[in-house]
Amino acid sequence: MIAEAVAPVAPPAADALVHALCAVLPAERVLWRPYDLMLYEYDGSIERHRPAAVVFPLSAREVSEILQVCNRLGVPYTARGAGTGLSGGALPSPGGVLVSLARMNRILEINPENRCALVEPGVVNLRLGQAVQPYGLSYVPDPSSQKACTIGGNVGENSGGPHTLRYGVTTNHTLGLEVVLPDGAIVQVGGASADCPGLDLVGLFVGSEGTLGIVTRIWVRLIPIAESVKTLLAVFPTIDAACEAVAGCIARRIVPAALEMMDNMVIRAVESVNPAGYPVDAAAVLLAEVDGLRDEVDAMAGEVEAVCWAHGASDVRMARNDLERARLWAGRKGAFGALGRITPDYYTVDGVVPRTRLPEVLRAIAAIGDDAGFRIANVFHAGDGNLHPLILWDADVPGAEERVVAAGAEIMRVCAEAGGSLSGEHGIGLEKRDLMPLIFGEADMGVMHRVKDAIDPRGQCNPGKVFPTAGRCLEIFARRGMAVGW
Amino acid sequence: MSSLELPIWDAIAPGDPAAVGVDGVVPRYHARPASPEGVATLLRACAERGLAVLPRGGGTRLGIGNPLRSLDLVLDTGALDAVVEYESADLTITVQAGMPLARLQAVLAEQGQMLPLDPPAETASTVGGVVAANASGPLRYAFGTARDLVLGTRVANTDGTITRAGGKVVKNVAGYDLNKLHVGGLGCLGVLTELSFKLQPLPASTRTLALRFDTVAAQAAFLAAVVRSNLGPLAIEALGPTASGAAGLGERRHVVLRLGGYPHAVERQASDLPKLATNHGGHLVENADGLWDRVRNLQVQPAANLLVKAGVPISATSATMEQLQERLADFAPRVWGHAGNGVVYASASADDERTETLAELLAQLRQELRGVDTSASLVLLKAPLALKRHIDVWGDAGDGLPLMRSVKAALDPTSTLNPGRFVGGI
Repeated sequence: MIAEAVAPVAPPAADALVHALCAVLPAERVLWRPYDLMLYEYDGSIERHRPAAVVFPLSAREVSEILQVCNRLGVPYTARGAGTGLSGGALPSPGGVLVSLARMNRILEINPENRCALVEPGVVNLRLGQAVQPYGLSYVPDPSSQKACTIGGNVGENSGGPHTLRYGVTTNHTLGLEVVLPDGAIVQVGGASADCPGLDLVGLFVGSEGTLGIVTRIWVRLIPIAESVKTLLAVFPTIDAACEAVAGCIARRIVPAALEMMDNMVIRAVESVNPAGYPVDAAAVLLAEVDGLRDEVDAMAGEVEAVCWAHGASDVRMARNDLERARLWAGRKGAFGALGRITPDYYTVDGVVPRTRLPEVLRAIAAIGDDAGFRIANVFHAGDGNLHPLILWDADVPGAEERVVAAGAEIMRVCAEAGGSLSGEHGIGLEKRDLMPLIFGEADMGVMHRVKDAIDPRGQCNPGKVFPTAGRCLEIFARRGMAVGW
Repeated sequence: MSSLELPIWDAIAPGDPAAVGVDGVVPRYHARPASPEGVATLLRACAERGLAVLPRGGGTRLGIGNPLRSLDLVLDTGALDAVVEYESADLTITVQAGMPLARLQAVLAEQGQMLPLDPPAETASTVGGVVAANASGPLRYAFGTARDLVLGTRVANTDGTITRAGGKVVKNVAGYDLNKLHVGGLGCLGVLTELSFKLQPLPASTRTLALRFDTVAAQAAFLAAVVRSNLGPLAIEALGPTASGAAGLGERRHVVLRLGGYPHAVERQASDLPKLATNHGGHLVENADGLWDRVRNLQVQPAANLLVKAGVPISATSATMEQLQERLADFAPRVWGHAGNGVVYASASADDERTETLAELLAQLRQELRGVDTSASLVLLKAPLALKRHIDVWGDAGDGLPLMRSVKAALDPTSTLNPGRFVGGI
């Protein structure tokens, strides 16, 4: 119900657009037949919008020419990587052009001495990780979708992943960008060198959800692979106990490389589809990983283990070798897919709360599920306080979509009231734009608007994303008797 | 609005200690608002009256930037020095911008925590000033710079509003990350009134190693090896001969490593890193108490009126150090750098007679660095006014400058804040 996209610019006759695009790109890299376009009306979110055309540029220059065509014809445009985004950031505007960066997928340089790589936006996250691994280096952000998602998409949404707890998210690993601005100019901001003078435009672009331009090259930071890694699985009789163990780790000044939680519903789904050895009768498991020098990981793992026992763990298992470690992780990384097998549909919610508030927030989320009549599964980055409640539902049930989205909004309200945020790594996109008033006031959004207008004065660059549509949020919340900022 | 009629600023009398100008420009007014709202009201009043404002924390980095086009009022954030919220179990803290960084670290240390931001330790420096100037220190190798540590900000704008960006939680992608514009934005877009930070536990044990090298090549080879290794020191500082002398190590080339973490890991590092140095022709030297503080504070050198910072790719650190040492030889520079980050500092004393020569030299150096990498830079963090009149302290801000101008025009349309001080005359 947050679905209707804004189309601020009326689309021209589609054939004029296609004709103009074919003048700047070979015809085989312009899709326009309805049959071809159907594949591109989705991303990983709940909505769908069909573009007027999909284009596949191979260079920044071609992207620039495409944007100039769009500017001339007054057509909105949206960049897309692999389409795995969960908030609708890569959904086209109706009648707009979808700029697929999938074919700009070269790793242009790996420079181990500078601990950086230069890549095109269509490079798949996992492929970059594999390419730098022989140099003893890693690219840290590792979203669950890393087998498919692209570095360009990661930059757009400032993606995270399990291993960002200790090492930071995409913005902490992005050194520079080449961007095609809405006016078609190709600029480089940041780069391989430290501390470029002036405003940190790299930091502004990362996470701006493709609303300020289209990124065509990325300088990423690489870090040395740790000498030693230990992964352990702790089993808990209650979710509260698992949450308290997470808070206990942080309070005891242990910052593991990763600290992930899965509840019983997720455990059962994983074990029924692709068994990872999780105990199916556990209320929750924590998957913790520590890394560093071999001289310290034993001590760190021991401390995590002690905290888990102290908070009532019924079992703690240490992976004894790489195979066992890989198996524990395969369960976590495949959790979303496994849930897909036990429910017709699921709606992934992304929210963040202070880590100390996890127990009460998870209880509130369970209550929301009970009230709304949905089962809610939890698999999330507990160490960051980054929740991913998955609401299980069936799209074929009339009226279900509205109820599931409302339950998601209710969860967001709980996160906001706990002092948290609407998104830790999936972005706002279309999905949550009308919820922004839960955490930002009118003046806060006004500053973001001024920045958007300064860089994209025409408003054609991925319109309708991030910013609330006037009036909609009031409508949603008024019914529920909730206080809204404006 | 009646509030604008309140006596919210004081005229500065001639000879008043508050009449400390910047680069020879002396303000007429001084204000020390007691609340964030007071800052916002004051900014709006100044914007409406066309008054130019210089926001000021501890006053330790006022030398950064080009000479102001005009200056009417100095806005002192010193009264905003409270801890707003400290939840140590969450490893986050929210403080007002005028709190001295040293005091913040003391508060955190009581809970065994730290903000891993270690610019040279001037006791007056405030968190707001350090963040606005994007000041950093050796620990950036392990923990990043202010951009990586700031979770949220509250900013007073020239339209009189106070706005928030980011939040208090450690992961957040809701809306534009406007924090980034204010980190290093030098108070040119708004005035920071409150900051939320991500914290780190204090390392259980720490140690400092000093390694001596006889040649540039040996030092460079060791640096390359340690940057590639996963031995994970907290900081890797490379020192030229003069800087080594100033740190009390003897006038040879050195690498000073800061180790920290679990005691077993620190022992292992303290054993393996000297071996790695030996492989590259270096050796461990004894170091006296206080070495680390001296290395950290190499920038603090009252006699030097010139401080430049080069930003280069990591692997160009050694070569850049040599280049600055040689080209600035006539000015007897002290040269050192954060070798794991590609940041090189040189400090020197510049006399007014050789201003033009120096300006030309610095301009040439900039060109040469740009030849190494298009994003390389050479910024003058401290320079005599005469030199600032000959050379832009920032250099070329690159392709992004038009965008930076647009952002400045959008957020401070009256050019009330720090006019002319930032890149490209912003």
